[in-house]
Amino acid sequence: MKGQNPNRSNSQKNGHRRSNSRYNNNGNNGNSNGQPSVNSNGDEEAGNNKLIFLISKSLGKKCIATLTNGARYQGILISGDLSSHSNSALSIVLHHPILISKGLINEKSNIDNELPEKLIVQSMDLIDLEVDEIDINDPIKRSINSKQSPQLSSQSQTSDISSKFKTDTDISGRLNVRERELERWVPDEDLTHNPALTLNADDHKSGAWDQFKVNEEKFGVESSYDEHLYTTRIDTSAADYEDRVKRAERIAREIEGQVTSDRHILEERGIQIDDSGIDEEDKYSGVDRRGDELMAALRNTSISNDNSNNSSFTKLIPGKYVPPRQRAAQYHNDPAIIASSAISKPNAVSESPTSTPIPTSESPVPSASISGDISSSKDPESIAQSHAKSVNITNSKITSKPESIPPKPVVGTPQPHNESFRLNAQSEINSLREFSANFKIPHKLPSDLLPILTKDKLKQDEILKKQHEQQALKKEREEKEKEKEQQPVQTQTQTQQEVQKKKLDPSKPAFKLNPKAAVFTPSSKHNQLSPTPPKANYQRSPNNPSPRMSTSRAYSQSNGSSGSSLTIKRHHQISPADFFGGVHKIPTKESQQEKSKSFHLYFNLFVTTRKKYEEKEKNDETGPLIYEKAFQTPPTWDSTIDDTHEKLFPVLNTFQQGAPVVIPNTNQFIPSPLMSQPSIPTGYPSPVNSKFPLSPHQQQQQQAAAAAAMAHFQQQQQQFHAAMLYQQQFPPPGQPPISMYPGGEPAFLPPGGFMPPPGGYVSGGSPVNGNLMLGGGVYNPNNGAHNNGHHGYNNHHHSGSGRRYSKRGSHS
Amino acid sequence: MSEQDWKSNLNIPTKDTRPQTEDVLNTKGKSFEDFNLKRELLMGIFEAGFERPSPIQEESIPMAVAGRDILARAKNGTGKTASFVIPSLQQIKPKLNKIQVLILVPTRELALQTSQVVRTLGKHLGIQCMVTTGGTSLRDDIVRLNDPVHVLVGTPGRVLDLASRKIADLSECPLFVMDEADKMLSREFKGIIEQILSFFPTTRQSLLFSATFPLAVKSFMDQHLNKPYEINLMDELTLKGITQYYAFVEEKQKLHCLNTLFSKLQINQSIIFCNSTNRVELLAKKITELGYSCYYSHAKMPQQARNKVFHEFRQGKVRNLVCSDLLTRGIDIQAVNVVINFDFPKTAETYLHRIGRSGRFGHLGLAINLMSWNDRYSLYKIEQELGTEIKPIPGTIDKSLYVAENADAVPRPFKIDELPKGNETVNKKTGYEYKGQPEVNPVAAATHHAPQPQPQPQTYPPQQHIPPHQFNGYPPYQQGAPPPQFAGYPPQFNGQYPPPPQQQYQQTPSSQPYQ
Repeated sequence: MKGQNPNRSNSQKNGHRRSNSRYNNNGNNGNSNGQPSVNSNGDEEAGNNKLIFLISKSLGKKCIATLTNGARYQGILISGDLSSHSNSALSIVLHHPILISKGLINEKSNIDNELPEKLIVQSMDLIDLEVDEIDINDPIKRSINSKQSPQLSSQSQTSDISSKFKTDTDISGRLNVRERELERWVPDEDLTHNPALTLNADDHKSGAWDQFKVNEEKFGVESSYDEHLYTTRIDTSAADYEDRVKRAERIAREIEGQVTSDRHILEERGIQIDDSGIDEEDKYSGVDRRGDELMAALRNTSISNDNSNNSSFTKLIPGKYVPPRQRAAQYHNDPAIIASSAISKPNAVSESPTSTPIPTSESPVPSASISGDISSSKDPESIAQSHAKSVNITNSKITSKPESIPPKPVVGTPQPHNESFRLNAQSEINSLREFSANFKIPHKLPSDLLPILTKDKLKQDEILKKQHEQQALKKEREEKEKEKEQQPVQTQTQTQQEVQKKKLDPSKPAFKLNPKAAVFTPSSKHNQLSPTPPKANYQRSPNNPSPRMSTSRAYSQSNGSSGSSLTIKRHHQISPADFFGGVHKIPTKESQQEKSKSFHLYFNLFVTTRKKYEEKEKNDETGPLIYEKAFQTPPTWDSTIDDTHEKLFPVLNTFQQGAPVVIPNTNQFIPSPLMSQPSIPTGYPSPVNSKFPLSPHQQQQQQAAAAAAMAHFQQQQQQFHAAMLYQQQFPPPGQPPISMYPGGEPAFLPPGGFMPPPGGYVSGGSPVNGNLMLGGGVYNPNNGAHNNGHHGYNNHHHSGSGRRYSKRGSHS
Repeated sequence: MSEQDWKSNLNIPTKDTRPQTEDVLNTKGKSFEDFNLKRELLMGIFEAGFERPSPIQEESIPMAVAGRDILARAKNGTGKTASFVIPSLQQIKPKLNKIQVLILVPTRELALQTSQVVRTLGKHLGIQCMVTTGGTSLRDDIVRLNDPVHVLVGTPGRVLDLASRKIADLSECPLFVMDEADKMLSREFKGIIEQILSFFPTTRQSLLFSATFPLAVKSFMDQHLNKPYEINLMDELTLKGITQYYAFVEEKQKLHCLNTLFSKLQINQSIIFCNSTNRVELLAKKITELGYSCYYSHAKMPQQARNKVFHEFRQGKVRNLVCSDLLTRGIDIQAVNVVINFDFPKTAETYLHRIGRSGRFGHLGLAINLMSWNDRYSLYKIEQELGTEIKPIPGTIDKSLYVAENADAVPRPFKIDELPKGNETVNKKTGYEYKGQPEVNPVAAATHHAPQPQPQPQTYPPQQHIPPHQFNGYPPYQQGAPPPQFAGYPPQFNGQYPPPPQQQYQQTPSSQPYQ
């Protein structure tokens, strides 16, 4: 009990708490009697209690306090205060302090020579407190180190763990591993092109080799396997053996005929299921970390987006700041995009010297995703009808014009944009000033707002006057624009088919505002999905068509810093036709109502399928009523052939009444009341009226790991709804309310059955916007955009063999 | 019959003299005899080559025998299987014709392996252990259950099917065991597990084991365990004996890199993990074309082929195994000293289990990750979650990091003469030369006798110099032992239930040892 505690904080710092561990005694070599150290056990309170205990035991003892400036004072500890504000709280009072070593920092200080009788050391100044000769029953010998306090508290954050079983990360302690430069492996000799040393799927003729045969021939490997080494032997000599086998046979058939939706049980029964959404890691090794259903949806998205490499991006917290450089990558769940977005930057500068390079470069993504949104809301029926067909069509499109599709989707990031912001900080301020001067409220100013704005009666009048003037102006302009627009729209619709044809040939320069710009505006989605030429829109409003983008840019550019953007309109100046990409697309009240009605119906697979079937029947076309899988979205496709539900659920005939039906609650989307009624045969097509009916497909899909897709779908549908609601209830920001429904034009149903996105309706590369719209795009099964792997969905589709590797190739 | 007598008459296998790490040596110094186990069980334990209990065994066996529920985590390959098998066997009443232990595991291969451990350790107890998994004939399993079964090892789906029809009667089964408990409590299994548990009596005892618990299992604990005794012997996640490296390569270089590794490393046996079944097959084919013996296994293969691959690889018949994550968890092959992640895994627990296929029971091993550019974030993430840093692969890897100077005594699950055609095969093939792994230097190849059929006992090294060590549940590969033994499976058992233990015992030359 002399001297300082040999067991200084270092020995304890890393002391993981070991519950129930005999290590308890070994960790602290200073504590021969095994007294748990302050921080070895228990939570903050316990730690504090122990600290209090120690302090109280130390009172009146000689101690040495080390201060932050390095000075050490010896004195008698007469008081300690643990209750301070900060976590690292131990303030002490020393009696008769003696300076035993000076501070490292030679400050001029009054107390250097003359120490007070009582020295108060604030917690912020105290580094270390060593107490000698503590005489307590328990021979605890330790220094009370104020530095431990934060440690105590930080441990206490995780210390509720001690009350439960530790998880892996509790044990690993979350070592902070930095991203770092990886050292490349260098081959001794360059044999990269040796075909023997490349893993090429081409020379693998589907499982055509017999590993047992090859290994026996080449290496003399012989089999000695006998199942009876592992399991019991069947007693074939038993008297009733035949009966037993017969009975077993019957029971086995019954069991195998039972209905279940559980993927694992199906697998164990030897039923082949579509498990293209998950790999063997998910099945046999990884632990499903999905906490609740929302998390499940999110995680599934990330799984399917990024099956082969689960990058760290997937765990980024939404809303957390992400460097612009990485936004695209995160957005697409593909780290590969990082580089490409970085690369695309110089491209953007060098290859697009046109007046509006940035907006164009950013336009493709949202436009493509919006297309799903708009088109599906406009004509969901056409989607349902052209289900499989149009996928093929888009596929053929892809193959027919590979030049137009860049090897990989390079998405313009807002980065150049942002940088220009930074550079033009001053002009930004100027433009804001200008904006405030010119700002006109598009709506009528509420009268009760006036007194808040200004108390001066005169000024109030001025404001009102201004407002009136403005509205008058606006009406005028609005009318003018409408007149203007009628013409191009008409011609547009007339020439649409022709235009579409042209569109298919990307080599025709007529469709490129700037031929070079296409190099880095390769929204292949955009190219494929919008038969409507963007040109028409560009002609009409050759500026940035995105309301969002234009607002921000207008502020910075209207001060004349960039002559090119003078024509940019504020978003409230954009006519509805402009906004929606054509007069015929402007939503009317009726069309909106129709839309919302169709929303309830057309997404219901059962309603639409039955409808179609009934129509068919009317035409005397007979045939089975086939419900297509609800999840026939491209990402989960392994092949183009899908089994029908009859094949998947052969149990309809063999279902045994008495047989218990296994409905494990692993099905996230089964409503819980149903789960508690195991007698409901979940395999049957279920009531059509429920919103997310328990279709065989859905269930099938869920266990078949396309749970991913399902969750995605639902999530998206919600988003989708949200988007629609927004569209229905609110005019686009800044849009004058009058122009919202300009005449009861019926919703235009394009002949193709699939309304492409208007090239003009394009917002900036804003992740928020795009994300929201992505929903529509994903839901729409016809959206060929998936086929070019625009948002990394394909990784999963080709999991393992295809895309990942070709991607590498294209990079290097 | 004194203590010494029965012990001296045991057929103790060749000792595994490879060095071991703290992971299995840091014990309190108890012995198996301290646990008050049945003598027949002790005999099985010692004859399996076990000497002293590992830390996890030391902790869990007394508690489990005392009847407590257990939730335990211990590192890969530190003896968890025996930690639940020994207390299970201790509590079985061989004369009671009921399923008395249910052991659930996530994969079929692991079920086979666990069953083999049960049979090895319990060979003198006269108990019947049956495996029931998917991929095999359900009818056969139903027939099997007509006869006495004391221990049922299986995968959840099949077990549920059997239990829900009361074919496997669990209503009086006092002991429920889950290996790889974190996976078993994962979303896809949890519902099935809970249904299976509903067939148990409420007084059952539950033992849950795993090396990883990425998620808290509190809700399950609260619901289904009764004051579980928690054992956590891990203050770090990775095994001390395993050295991890990454090789940062381009995707197309991977095979080249692998080939280089094959030629440079002294591989006893290796497991190579790929992320897709296609790649598994493709890579295995390439490896055989490069001149190395290689099997592959993944879940899309027929179960018979899977079993065969698993069995032969464990027996050391082939040197390399390419597989998917099907064989990531629990598979115990003592001779594996190199694990290669040809593709990088997604989750930390997968990574940990994969690399835990080498360095079994505290031995040394190597884990090499072929990383492509796309994998780097996974690398960081997994490093962070595991609290370990993976270093770049050096030009030469020190052999002392993974090569045992004496690989001769590496245990195999079955002794050659226990195998059905074991001796015949060996004798017929005496002239046969193993051609796998040609580039390994001849000295090393000579010491790696495992894949070579070599029946001659005299080639075995002397057994002096024996550091404290033990095996993880498998009888060592005992080609040298003169008397024929029935370690795992007595071949003449055709349908006689229950086999009288004496009968087995009389096969040994000195046959009196136990009453």
